[in-house]
Amino acid sequence: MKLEREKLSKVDVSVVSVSSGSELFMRFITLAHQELEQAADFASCREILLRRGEKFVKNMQESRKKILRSSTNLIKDGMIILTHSHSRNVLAVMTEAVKQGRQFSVFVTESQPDNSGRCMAKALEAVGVPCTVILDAAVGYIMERVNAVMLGAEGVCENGGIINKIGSCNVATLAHMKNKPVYVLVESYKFIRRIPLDNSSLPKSYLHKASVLNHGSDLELEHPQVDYTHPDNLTLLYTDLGVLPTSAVTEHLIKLYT
Amino acid sequence: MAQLSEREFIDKLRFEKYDTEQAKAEESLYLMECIVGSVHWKTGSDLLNLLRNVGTSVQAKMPWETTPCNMVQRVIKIVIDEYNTLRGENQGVEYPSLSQSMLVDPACGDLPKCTEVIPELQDRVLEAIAEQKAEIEQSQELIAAQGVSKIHNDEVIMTCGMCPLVLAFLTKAAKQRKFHVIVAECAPKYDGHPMAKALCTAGIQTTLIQDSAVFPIMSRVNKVIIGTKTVVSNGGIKTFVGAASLASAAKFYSVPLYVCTPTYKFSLMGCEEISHESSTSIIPKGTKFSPSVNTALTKLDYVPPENVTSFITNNRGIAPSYVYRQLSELYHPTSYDL
Repeated sequence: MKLEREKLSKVDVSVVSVSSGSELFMRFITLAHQELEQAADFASCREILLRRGEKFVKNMQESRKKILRSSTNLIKDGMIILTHSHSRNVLAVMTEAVKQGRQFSVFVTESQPDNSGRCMAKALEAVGVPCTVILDAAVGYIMERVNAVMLGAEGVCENGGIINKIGSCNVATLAHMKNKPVYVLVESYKFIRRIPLDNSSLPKSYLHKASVLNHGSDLELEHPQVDYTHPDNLTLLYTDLGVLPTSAVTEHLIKLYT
Repeated sequence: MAQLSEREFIDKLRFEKYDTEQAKAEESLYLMECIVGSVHWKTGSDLLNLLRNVGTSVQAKMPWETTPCNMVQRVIKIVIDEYNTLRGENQGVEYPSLSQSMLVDPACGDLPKCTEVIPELQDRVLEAIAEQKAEIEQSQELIAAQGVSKIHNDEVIMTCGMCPLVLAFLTKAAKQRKFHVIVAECAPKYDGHPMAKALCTAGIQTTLIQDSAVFPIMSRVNKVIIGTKTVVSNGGIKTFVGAASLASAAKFYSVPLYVCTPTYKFSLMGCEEISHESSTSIIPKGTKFSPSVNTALTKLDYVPPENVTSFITNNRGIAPSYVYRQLSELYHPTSYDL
């Protein structure tokens, strides 16, 4: 399984969530102490591991629905929401809010370098949410008009800070400055056991895509893909474990890992 | 005392027959005692459903009355805990225990299934409710007893309006310390006036000020101590109107804000969910307004957790960032969706 993890890390995906998800997966399936001790032979051990694995994957898929349950009440009629880049959680919440008949509008940042904000805008228009794409640089300009900020996350650090697409740090810091609430919608398998002190202490494997790392180019010249947002700038985390303040993350991490 | 029915209780709440939150908490516990003591239920699940119905009906009619809902959720946790203890750990309870499951599932919305009939459950639950009642009755004294450690000599303390807990807190401290209290009169009820009178009677040097004078006076204040109606799940408070500006002024001058609150005011609800209700206007009689003037009176103010320094509860002071932990000790996570 460790080999599979290494293989996955060589692919250009969001390394943060993949590595935390796989670590939790490994722990979950191997931590069935009582059942494994009672198992008669290797075949039944394998059965147990497989079943637990399926349960874990099912839980992961259900987690978005749980987040939806607590976060749909966030969006009220007439609200103007700012979001950054393409987050499936945020998209799901907004879709659900439209189904419940709420009227609201959204500003989406363009989110360079891959223009993922435009994909988000297209998806939102398809659902029927009036949205406007703004430049990443226009966040400060638009912030005074916004009622709330909703972000996804690729990883949640132990102190409650989040690792998300580059540009999230700007959005959250400006929102905090203007006293706008910042809500993060994230599943619990993205909790990681790391407390970055600041942006420069993020590991290179998070910052750059695997293909770039393997290419051997000078990393100082490469643009980072993610950044770290300090927990002071975040208001609440909406997770499948419930609505958590940033101070609650460390406790849930301990529960998840023991 | 005669049996209290759910409808009587809700009517009493609606017509504001209760003076204090403590009275509401005690009555709701009494109502639940009646339900537990009645013969309408056989299994734990029946009882949980009965209790949940009480909570839902109170919440539907009066969403700002959080204390009865908190007590319902507290009793639900008591019932679930007693059921688990009587059944033995990790046996037959559908809710997975933390040691077994990786992903704790609090938002699953369904109360655990307690389908076995256990005769001792009723007595154990009634005992636990009686303990809870005793805790509520003692809460005022326990909070007041912490006053001596929090207040020092020659301090200037600010408070707003009338709160029996804060009054008890200050009068107990006054027996051993000499300090000065500034009371804001708290329009439109002006209950700062009886508060100032009561403090004077207790021998404390008191000054009564208008609400608008709070900001300029704040620079000379050492501490602000207030009471609250509800503590919401993120660590903020929903309380009397005027608290938000008082708290902002305190934050501006870096004056610590202490909130005296017993544990039955801690609510699982978030700050967005408790709706503000505008009650009828309090315009003095005889004033004629043209019909184009709208008057509104908000019931509650929200103070965010950043502006609160610490909560003084029954046995200790806790920080706003710790409130979520206190909630997980007081209530069962599945009772969130009442």
